[in-house]
Amino acid sequence: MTNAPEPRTLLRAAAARAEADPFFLGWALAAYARAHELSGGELAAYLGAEQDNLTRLALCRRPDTQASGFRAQVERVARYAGVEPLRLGMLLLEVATAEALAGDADADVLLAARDHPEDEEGV
Amino acid sequence: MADGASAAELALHERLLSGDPVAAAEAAEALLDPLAARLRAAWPGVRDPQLVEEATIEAVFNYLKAPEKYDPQRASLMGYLLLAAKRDLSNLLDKERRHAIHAVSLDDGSPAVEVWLADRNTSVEDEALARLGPELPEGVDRMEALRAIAQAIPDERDRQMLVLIAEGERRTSAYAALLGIERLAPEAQRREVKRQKDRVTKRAQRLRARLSRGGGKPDDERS
Repeated sequence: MTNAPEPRTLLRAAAARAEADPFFLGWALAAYARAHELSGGELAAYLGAEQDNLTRLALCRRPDTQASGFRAQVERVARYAGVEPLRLGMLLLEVATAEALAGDADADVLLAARDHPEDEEGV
Repeated sequence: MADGASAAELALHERLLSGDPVAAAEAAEALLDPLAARLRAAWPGVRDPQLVEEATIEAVFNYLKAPEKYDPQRASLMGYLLLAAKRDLSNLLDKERRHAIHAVSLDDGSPAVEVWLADRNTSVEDEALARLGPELPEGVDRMEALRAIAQAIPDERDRQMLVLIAEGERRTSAYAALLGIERLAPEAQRREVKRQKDRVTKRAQRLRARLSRGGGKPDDERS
């Protein structure tokens, strides 16, 4: 997901590993970035943050979109990691929706489909 | 605090138990580097830093995902994590060994040096070191082992011969090519190859014995 050369630290290694674990927010970030073909820098820009913030963000626990406290959790995470709460919330909802509809393997495909309005013609 | 968690550890632990999404990231930031340092100190013979990294992350992640398994009354958090990380590292080392070729004897007796086939792209010194196993004898670090190899087997051709022996090469012609004695009569080649193999084998046995005694000062070695 990252595209800038960064010194490899243990924290960054952990954040990279978090991308493969649905427990962590990093998993949602990676799914969203893959589906929208975003680099690490582009994802950070979308979230209104510096790329370094993504490491802290990735290691947060992924908020539960079904929980009543979802909004509060998103705001708390956004404050901690220095990202836009609304964008973060939308990202998490989008990934969770795709996951719920199609299962993990197809989540990226469903997310990407939203970027191609011409497909709505049914072609 | 010798037993049980510190106040800071307890506070973080409670937040993890409550499902605070930020606690996981804060815990990772606080725990990863210190745990890795302790793991390296507890297991200095591991040559691959990636294995230590993997074991550290595995232990911390397992804790973050199931904090209820840790009992703050029984041990400090770092003690709990170090135990888990050692277990994970041990499993990773076992997996490495299972992927390697079986131990090979250097002579017909019991194995004097346990050897594994190493990656061909390494230097001869690295390959010789690799033949001492992925885990060095306790108390011996990599630099010390390399110095010991250079001292015990200073001749590069001897080290290349050690590699051939460890790989189970049986053809006299292979050793003869290395020794540059292909023009000798077959019987003379065979005798010379055996003499050189015995000489190198004895040096490797003495080296292993020295390292197993804890590295230290070199013994007097005669060919």
